Amino acid sequence: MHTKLVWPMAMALAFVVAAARGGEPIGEIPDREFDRLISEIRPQPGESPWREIPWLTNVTEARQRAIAEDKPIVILTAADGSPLSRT
Amino acid sequence: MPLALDTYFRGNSHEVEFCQKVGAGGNHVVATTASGRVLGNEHLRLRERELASVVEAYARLPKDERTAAIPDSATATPPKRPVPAPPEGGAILRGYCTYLKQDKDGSIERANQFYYLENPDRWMAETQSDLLWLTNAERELLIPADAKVGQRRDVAQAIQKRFYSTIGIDYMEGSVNSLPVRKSTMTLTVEAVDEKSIALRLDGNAQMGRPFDEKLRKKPNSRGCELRIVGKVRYDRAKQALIRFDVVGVGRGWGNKMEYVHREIRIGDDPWMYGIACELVTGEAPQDRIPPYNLLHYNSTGPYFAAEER
Repeated sequence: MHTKLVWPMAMALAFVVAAARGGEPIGEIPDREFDRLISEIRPQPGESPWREIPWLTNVTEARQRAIAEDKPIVILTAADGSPLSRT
Repeated sequence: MPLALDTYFRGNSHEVEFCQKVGAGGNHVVATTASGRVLGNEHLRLRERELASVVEAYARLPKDERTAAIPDSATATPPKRPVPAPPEGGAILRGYCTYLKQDKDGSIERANQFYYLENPDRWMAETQSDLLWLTNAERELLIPADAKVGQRRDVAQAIQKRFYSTIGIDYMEGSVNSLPVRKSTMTLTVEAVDEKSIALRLDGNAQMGRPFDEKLRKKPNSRGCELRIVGKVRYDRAKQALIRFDVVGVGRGWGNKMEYVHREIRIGDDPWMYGIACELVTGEAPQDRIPPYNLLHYNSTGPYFAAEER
């Protein structure tokens, strides 16, 4: 689901010009677009279901809870940083 | 039991031994019992069908094997690389980053581009996430003691640098270096004050990394970006705590981000648009307490915290 954000025409034209040339100031973000733009940038519903899992981040805690709840452990590892951070 | 780990920060000696025993390292998914018996195949993915077979294999094991005792942590050697904890009394912001695009009529929307066009698996660009930590002193400095509507102040340079160079950049390719801030502004303006709370507006812009030069797109060390942000901050006077810290930013990125692994992003535009957003998190969930990426990795812009700040 991707909503569209319509900026005022003057702002849009200014932004188009600026977008075409790096190094020029980026236009101000209109207040009325604040909430919608945040929604656009945050993860979209259903986009990354694996991020919605209540991951643990400590091995001993995971092992203790696995025993207490009689469950297997699924371990997701990343080589450069937590897989729950940048991936 | 879901467990996510940074391979370089897997814990004390018992924890590292356990991970090595089950092969939990690198970019990998593995399923195991608490005692270290590997379940499922070695190329496991986070897919329902594959995980269902893990659960079935687990259920077939005798109960004493499923629930065997684990070594006492007191006998373990402390971690060689302890995972830093968030600053006590500080604040944690969760950041997001995605690509944006603009239509001819000026509309801005999320850009659904393939991540690496040259990657044979071709997956869609997925929103990236990272964290920002503020110390207790920094958090306190954000809110004026005698706040009055219209009052305006610059945010501390240390916060500006940390924000813009780590979660203000385009980090859509994950493991990218922080970028030095060439120029930045960030101000907080008091918009409303009552007996319960103080509402503030955040405004700022910044330029990071190398200045734009279209001739440098494929050259090494040519990454750069610029960002405009606006935010809404609210402080609860009774709790003496931030209760809102929402920020949105629209930026442009350029240069060759990943020349060293030949995974240059190819989204058609140069420069390209990206967006960032962030929000306050409580730090109660384990995933909200993982360290900011550039605190531990690829921080080319100096210490995450100045020594006197923690």
